[in-house]
Amino acid sequence: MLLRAMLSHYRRHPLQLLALLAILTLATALWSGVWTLTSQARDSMAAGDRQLAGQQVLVRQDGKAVSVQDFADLRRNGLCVVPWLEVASDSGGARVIGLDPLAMSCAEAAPSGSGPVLDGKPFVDISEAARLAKDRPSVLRLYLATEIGHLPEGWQRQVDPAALDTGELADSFLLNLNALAVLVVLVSALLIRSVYTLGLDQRRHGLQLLERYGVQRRRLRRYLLLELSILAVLGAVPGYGLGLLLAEVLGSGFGSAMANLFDTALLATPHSVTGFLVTVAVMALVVFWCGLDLFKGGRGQTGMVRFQVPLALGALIAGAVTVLVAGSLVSAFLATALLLLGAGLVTPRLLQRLAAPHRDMAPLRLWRRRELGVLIRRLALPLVALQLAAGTVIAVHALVHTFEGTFNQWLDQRLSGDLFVEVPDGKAIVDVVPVLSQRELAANWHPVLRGQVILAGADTSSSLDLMATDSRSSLVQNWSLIEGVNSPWLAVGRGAVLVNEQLARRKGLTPGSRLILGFGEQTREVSVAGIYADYGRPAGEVMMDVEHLPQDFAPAFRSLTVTLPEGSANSRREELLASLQHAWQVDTLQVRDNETVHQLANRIFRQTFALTRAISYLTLGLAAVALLLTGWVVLGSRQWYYQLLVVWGLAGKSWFRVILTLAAELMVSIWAAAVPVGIALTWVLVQRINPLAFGWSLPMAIYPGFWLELMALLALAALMIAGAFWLRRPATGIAPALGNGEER
Amino acid sequence: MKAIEVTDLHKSYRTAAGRVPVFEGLTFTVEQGGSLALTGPSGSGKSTLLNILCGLDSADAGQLALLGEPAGLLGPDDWADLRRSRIGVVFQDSNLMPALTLEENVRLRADLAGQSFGPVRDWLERLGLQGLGQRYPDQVSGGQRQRAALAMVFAMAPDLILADEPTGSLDRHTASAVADELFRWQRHSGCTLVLATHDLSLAACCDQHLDLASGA
Repeated sequence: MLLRAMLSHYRRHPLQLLALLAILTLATALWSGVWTLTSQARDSMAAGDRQLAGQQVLVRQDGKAVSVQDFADLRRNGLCVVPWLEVASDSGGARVIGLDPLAMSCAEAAPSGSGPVLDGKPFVDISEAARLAKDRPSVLRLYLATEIGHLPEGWQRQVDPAALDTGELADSFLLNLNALAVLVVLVSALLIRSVYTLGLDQRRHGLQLLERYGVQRRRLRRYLLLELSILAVLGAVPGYGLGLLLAEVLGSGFGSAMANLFDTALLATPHSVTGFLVTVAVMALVVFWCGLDLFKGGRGQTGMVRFQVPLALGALIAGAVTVLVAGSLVSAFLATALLLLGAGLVTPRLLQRLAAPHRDMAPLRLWRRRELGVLIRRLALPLVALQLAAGTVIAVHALVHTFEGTFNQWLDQRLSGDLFVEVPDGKAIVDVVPVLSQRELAANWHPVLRGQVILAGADTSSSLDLMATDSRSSLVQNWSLIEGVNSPWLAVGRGAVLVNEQLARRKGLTPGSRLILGFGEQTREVSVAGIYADYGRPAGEVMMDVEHLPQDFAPAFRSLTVTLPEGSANSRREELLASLQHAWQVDTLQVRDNETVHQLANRIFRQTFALTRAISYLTLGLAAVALLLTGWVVLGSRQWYYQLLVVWGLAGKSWFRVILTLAAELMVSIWAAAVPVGIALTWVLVQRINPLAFGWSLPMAIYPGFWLELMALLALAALMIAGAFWLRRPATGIAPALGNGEER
Repeated sequence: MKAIEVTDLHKSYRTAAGRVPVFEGLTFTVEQGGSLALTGPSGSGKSTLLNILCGLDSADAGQLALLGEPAGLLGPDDWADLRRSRIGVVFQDSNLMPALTLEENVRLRADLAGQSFGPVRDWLERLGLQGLGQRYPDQVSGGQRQRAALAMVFAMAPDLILADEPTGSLDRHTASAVADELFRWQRHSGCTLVLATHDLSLAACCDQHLDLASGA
């Protein structure tokens, strides 16, 4: 009977019960979805690490790319080496790995078992991979499967370049995801708590009545906690299922992002009990947080309010200082958390202060401002949740758009040219110089050579990507560098090198730093003339002039970048290609045009942020739904007073205008509070977190157009609230009963 | 001149059990400056009649003329105009906006009625609320809140006051003081008063008395 009396609140307000269940379900779905994706990423990277940990590849001392013939020679010498032929797929996503089953047999028999581990990648027979490699980019590696004392002449050991330096970046990537998951949990916990405590406030009178009838307070609390736990389970179970579904939906884009960033496929790990237990544990914590109110009985609120502003200022100052000096990703996230905490604590007080009316305001406007103050106070939790979610969306939007803009600009620099022609194996670039010198066929051109070079360090040497081109070509001279000496291209022409941002950050290089590069037997000390942006991959790269490459340097890849004469027709392109074929005496050429490469690169890089974007928008959606629900309840409890305005003669349209203005002012307040959070978060993301997490930074940019879009969305929400309220108004007569709207 | 003319008024509510009549064939008139007490048990239609008299509800059938205007010709905006400047409504409780001080509440009501709010403090003082103007409704007693509600109505200088059990939630002493203020001002200003009440002694202070239970 007691339970029935307690639950009568939900009988009278079934929508509130549905709202609470909906929030519980959606919040669980969001955080379990993000958790599933994060754990899949963690497992996949761990599997990748296991594959590559401690593995060594054999490389030629002369720096030339290894060939199938090399593999055959080494096996004839009795070495247990495993060929690993990695071929890019058509779509640029997953790769195909070719292995030799016969060679694998010696690796499996080896006591160290240090051959490549076969999990998580699609493997085919090496002959099949070789067939695919004929018309696609490919890399052949020779893994050393057994430890031997002496290597044959002309060969050296090297740590697998695929495993180089990605560990820290991968950890950072995971930390980014975890931080996002924590933000999602915090925002949704705020929302659950706000919806629950609002309902509890409405029930307080009825509960006090039961207490007056002699029901022990302890017993009431026990029942309330039981009720909350049952609701949590009822919401969490379907929420967990929805979360798995969400992870599946977001998984494909996320998988591509991981493949592009870390060369790691997202493994479809089986659903674990741990995942469900984590969801239950998070839910239990949130329930405990909500339940605290039951036991506190309003005590401690005044103290909290008294210390709210000093606490907020303390968090903001500590966060700002920490973010400026943060040297690690963990400290950057900690600083961000402090900044968000400070913003969340100070916002309701600040907004109330801003909403405070002047005494000489027109009376109706004065009432509206005072009412706004009440709404801000009563909706503080969902308001802060929406503020943080909207701030995150603003920041993620700015990050993605800045990235897209910068990346496109960067691509335009890197791909300045109309055609990219691969130099066929065994053919020399010099053979086609007469063709390319004809102005009617090619307006401009330069060669691009790629290979590997060894960066000699104090303790260890590591392998770097090398790119060589003609530094005098007008196609490279318009590259904008992040940093550089005076006339950097001139310096490159004289033997200096440019390094990519990743390498510069990792090795602490600045213009003027000196590097020792190993080309096979030969080493050379070079000066760093500048640092260039190089997005989306962790590998370090140096760039030098082709003129300064050692004579015996054997590039793994050679291509020509060609600009066609302005306004030249398609026939000219065909004529140029035919001339090149003729000069090289080949039947076909591997040619890619600028637009295709642009499209492919853009598609790959968009996927990098697809998950962050999707989750931030979902969080915003959840926060908006929660605000609408709680706003509906709070406005409902004030309905009597809004109806008084009708009694006092405000006609229908005027009344609607007043309610709409009130709802719009509330939404604009949230928007105004979210924008500074968004700007601060953007700066932290692009200038602090991104360099620490991915190795490259982005310029700081803001997008007021998007802020206006967000404001339009919030204005739409205001219109929905006012419209719903208009529909809810009593058809006739005056609202017969008061809610708990007595609060000032 | 007649302030209110009600002829053969019918009102019923539709419920799940069918149509429930509230009153049938109600007829009465109130002269300008007169007062009418509506009595009857709960559910007899006192509040419904007051709602009809201020345009917040409508009758099923019958004639109503208010302050010389036939109700049939009044649209929602006309009713809103009447309530804003010529009809003052007082409820049993919660007549004030909780986010505004007593003085700001009175100013708001006067402003909506198009009256100057210069004498707002005078009204509060005349009703015994001196020094309480800057207090919020939850910082004063129930009696003081009702006096402030009267101050709001007086500040708008209406032609008709509709009061729905204005002393219903007050103790006898405070109720008597509030009623005295109401009648004193009604006589002083010459406005018409319609009062719904359970208190027969209060009803006796009015010029006319209509018992909705008996229709007499």
